[in-house]
Amino acid sequence: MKMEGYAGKILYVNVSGPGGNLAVRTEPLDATILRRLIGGRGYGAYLLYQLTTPATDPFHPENPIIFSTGPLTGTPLAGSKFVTITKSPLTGGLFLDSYSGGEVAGEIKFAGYDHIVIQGRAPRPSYLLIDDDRVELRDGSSLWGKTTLEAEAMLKKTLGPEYKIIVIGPAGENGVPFSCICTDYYHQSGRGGAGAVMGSKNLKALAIRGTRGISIADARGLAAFRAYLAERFRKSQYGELRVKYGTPYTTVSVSSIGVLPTRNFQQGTFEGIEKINCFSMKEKIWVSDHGCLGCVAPCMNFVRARKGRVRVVGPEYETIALLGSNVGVDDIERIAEFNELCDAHGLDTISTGNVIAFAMECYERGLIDRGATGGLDLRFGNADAVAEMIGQIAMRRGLGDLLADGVKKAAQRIGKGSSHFAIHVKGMEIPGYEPRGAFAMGLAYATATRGGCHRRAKPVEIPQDRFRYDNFGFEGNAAMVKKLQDAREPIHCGILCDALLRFCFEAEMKDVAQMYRLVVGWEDVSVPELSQLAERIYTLTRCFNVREGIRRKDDTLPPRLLYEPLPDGPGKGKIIGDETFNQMLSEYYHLRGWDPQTGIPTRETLKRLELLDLLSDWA
Amino acid sequence: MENRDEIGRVKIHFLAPFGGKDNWEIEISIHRGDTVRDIFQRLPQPLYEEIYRKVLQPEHARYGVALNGTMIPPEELSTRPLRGGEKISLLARLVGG
Repeated sequence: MKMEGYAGKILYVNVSGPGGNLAVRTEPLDATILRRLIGGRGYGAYLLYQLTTPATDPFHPENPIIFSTGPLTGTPLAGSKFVTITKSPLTGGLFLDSYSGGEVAGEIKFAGYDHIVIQGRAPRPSYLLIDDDRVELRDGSSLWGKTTLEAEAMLKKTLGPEYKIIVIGPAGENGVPFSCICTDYYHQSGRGGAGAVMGSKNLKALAIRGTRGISIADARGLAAFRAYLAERFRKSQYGELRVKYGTPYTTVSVSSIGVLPTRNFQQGTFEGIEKINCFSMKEKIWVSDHGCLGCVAPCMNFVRARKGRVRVVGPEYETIALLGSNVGVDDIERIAEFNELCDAHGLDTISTGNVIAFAMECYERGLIDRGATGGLDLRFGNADAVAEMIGQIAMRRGLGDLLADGVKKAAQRIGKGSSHFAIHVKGMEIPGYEPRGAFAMGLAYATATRGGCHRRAKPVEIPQDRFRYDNFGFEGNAAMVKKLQDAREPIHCGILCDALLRFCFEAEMKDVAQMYRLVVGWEDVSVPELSQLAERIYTLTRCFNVREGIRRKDDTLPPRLLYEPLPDGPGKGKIIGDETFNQMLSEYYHLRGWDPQTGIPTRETLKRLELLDLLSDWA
Repeated sequence: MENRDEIGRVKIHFLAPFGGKDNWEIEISIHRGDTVRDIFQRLPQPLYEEIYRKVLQPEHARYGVALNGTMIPPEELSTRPLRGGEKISLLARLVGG
C-alpha cells in the first residue's frame, strides 16, 4: 500500500522512565490499519484506547498525552493542524481531542513523526526537546510559573527561533481542568484540559525542530489542486467576510437569530452587541491580520488590549460570546484584555467565561455573598471583576479555586439549586450557541464526543437547501447533526483546518478524497469510503466513552436549556423539552447504529464499521 | 419638498458586502403601509438589484434581513408594515466560531 504523506513513525516518550530516566522508542505506523483510521483524530483515538483503561485517571502518569498529525499535515495544502488527544480531566476521563493551528503541526512531521505519545511524570519541572531523532528531557524549573508567552519567549531565546513550542501556563501547572495548551504564542488547543494533563507530568513545554521533508504522491497534481481551491475561494460566498473579520463576524448573525449566550444563558440577545461585534473590534482595537503558516485566507486578528500596552491575537467569536455577552460586558477592549489574560495563564476562554458567568448568577441570586467573593462585586457587567476572577482561577486563589474545577463541580459544591443553571454537557462548559434558538444545536452538544462542544457539528443557520429540518422541533435534526459530524471526520484525520475548507473553499467530501489521492497516493479512495471512515471514527470515540461509563442518560442538556423558555429573539418562548429532545436522540442513535435504550454501539455496527478487531475488549 | 404621506424614516445597515463595501448605512423615508421590500425597491437600482439577487430572489438565501436586530423570515419582508424609526440590517448568515 502506498504511504506517501506520512512520516511513518510514532514517537513514544516516558518522562519518568526506569530509574527516573527518559525512555524513548519509536514504532512504525501500523500499515494494516492505516487506511481504516488515517491519522489525527482517528489513529490518535485508537492509540488512546489501547493505552488506557477506565481506571486510568486523567492525572495518572500513565494517561498519555498524544500529539497527532495526519498525512495532509505539513503539505502545501493550507491550514495544517495538530490535535492533542488524552483523557479529559474536565469530563472525568472522557475522550478529548483539541486542535491547534500555527506552525507546530508541520514541525512534528518535519521531525519525522506522525504522533508523539508522552506518558509518565517527570521528577521535576521539565521541558522536552525534540530535534529530529534527538529527544531530551531538560530542566524546566526556570520556566515553571511563567506565562505561556514568557515561557515560549525564553525557550526561543535559549534554543533559537526555529524551534516550535508547545507550552502550558500557570493554570496547567495548577491542575485547572480547563487549562489549554498554547503554541506559537497565539494558538491554543483550548478545550478539555490538556494543559492540566501536561502539568500533571511536570512538563512545561515541548520544543520541536524538524529538518525532514514530506513525500507527496503527486506534487504536480497537488499544486494544480491548490490553484483550484484558490479559485473556489475567490468565488466563495463567505470567504471575503471570513478573511476580513474572522470568526467575530459570527456575532452579527447569532445575535440576529437570538442564539448569543447572554448573562449565563439567561437570554439569547445582548443589548450591547454593537459595542462588541466584529465592526467594533475592527474600528477600536484591530491592528493587523494574522494567519497560520502558509494559509491563503488568514482569518485571525491582532488587536490591542490594555490601552495599547499589549497585542494579542483574538478575540475569536467564542471569546467575545463567553467573556463578553455571557458575563454582561459590552466593551470589546476589555474582552481583548480577558483574552490576553486567559492566553497568558493558559486558560480556555470558553470554559472560563462560562464559570465566571455562573458565579455571577449565583452572586446576583444570593447563593454566594461578598464573603465568598473576597469582597468582589460579582455582578454581570463588572469587567474588573471578570479580570480578577481569571487570575484567581488560574492561580486557584479565593473563589477562583472553587470555580477552577469547572462549572459542574462548582454547582455541586455551592448547591442551593445552582446545578439548574450550570451550563455544561458531561462536565464541559457549553460554547457560544444557545440551543433553544436552534434545537439541533442541543443534539449536537449532547452527542459531541468530548462534552459540550461546537466543533463536531454546528447546526446553526444551515440553509434549508442543504438539509430539511425544523429549527424549533425534531424533524430532520438528527440526520443533519450526524451528517455534519461525519463531514468533519476526514478533515480531522488529515489534519487540516475545517473552517478554511468549509467557509473559504466550500470543500466537500469529494475534495477531501482528492487531497488523499494526491498526497498519500490512494488512487481509489472514494466518498463512500470516507463516509464510512467518518462513521467509524465517530463510533470509535463513542466506544471509548462507553467504556468510561457513558450511556444514554448522559447525552443530555443542562436543565435551563432543556426546560426554560428563551425570553427573547426569534426563539422567544420556545422550550426544547424532554419529548422533542428524546425524539431527536432516538433517531440519532438509530442513524448511528447505537442501541436506542443505552446509546451503546451495537455489535452489528462495530462489525459493519470494521472496528471489532481494533477494540479487543468488545470482540 | 417633504412628502405628505411620509410617516418617518428607517435606517438600513449593510452588515455584509453590498454596493462594494460592508458596514455602512443609509436613512430613508417611509410612507404609510410601506414594507421592508417596498423600501428596498426605493433604493438606487444597482443596489436594489444586488439585494434582489442576494436576499429576495433565492429560495434559501445566504444573506438575511434583521429588523431591530432580530432576523425576520423572508415572507414577512413584504407583509410587515414599518412604522418609522426601525433599523433594518442586511447580513450574511455566516456562523463559524
